[in-house]
Amino acid sequence: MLLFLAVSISFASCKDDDDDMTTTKPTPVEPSIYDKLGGTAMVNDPNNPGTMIEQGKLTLRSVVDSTIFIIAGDSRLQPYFPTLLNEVGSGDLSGFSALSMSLTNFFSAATGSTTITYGGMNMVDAHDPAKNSRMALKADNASMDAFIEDVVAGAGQNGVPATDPIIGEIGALLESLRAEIVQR
Amino acid sequence: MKKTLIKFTIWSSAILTILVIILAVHIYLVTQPKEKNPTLSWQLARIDINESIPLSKEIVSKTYKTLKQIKGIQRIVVNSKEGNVVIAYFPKDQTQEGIYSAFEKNTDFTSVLFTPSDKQLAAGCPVLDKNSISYKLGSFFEGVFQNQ
Repeated sequence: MLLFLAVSISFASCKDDDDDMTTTKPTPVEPSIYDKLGGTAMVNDPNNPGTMIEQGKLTLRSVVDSTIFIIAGDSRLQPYFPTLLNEVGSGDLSGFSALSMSLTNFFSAATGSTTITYGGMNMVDAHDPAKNSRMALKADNASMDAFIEDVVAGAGQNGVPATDPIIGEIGALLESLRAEIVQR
Repeated sequence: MKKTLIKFTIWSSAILTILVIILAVHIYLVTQPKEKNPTLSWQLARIDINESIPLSKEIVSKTYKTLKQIKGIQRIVVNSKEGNVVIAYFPKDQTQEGIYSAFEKNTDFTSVLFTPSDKQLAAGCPVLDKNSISYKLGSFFEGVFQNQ
């Protein structure tokens, strides 16, 4: 009985993300940012031949990956991301992949994906050192500005100029999170 | 009493073994996403170039050219405004020191490999708690499956 319970808890505690991803939200009248970025149309993953990926997610992942490179070289954001540049051994997990996946899923969900969910901490807790031991430093407005600037630069590296209306929409989305993220 | 203790130990060990196997299978299943992450093994490194900023076109060009020739490097992004270059590489093929050594040897400008201090690392980032049991277990099993 104990074993059965343990097995049940083990599998139930960490469900396959796909289970969470399928929702029955009604189709929005106005296309979401995610839709404008390609939405759920399945395309070949250029980095992973033979595998399909949603165009919206692929676009966001490309922007996120570029943004991480920019952040890693940005002295203004260095205090928040030193572990990105800390060498890990072969076969070890790197901070890059974790951050890339987490941010891509977050942006996908936040921009209106109906198939992808973000399962991480909420923005207030994730940026509160008292609730997230991995966040030792509270973010300030200057850091938030720098982050938004880097996201725009990351988009630019993927062929989306700063003047594109979609950048304004993403900027507005990020701005809407400022109050939750900036805590000093 | 002794028999009971032996029985208890055997059963406990058996249950523990089964649970570990279940955990391993579970981690295997959840780390086999339908969409593979091409950057799963990427590691980042940064070299700070101590020349006047923004970096000149010549330095940027030489930096790209030099780094592209090093085995294991997957992506290079030069930040000329900040005076540094961020590199993604496969840890199986390279180390930060190896990359920097080759870079320094083949360029004539002053540079330094950025290595976060213990104090900086303690500040952390909202991504991974490498001291957590879940991270260590996940990392171990993922390493086992990846190396197969």
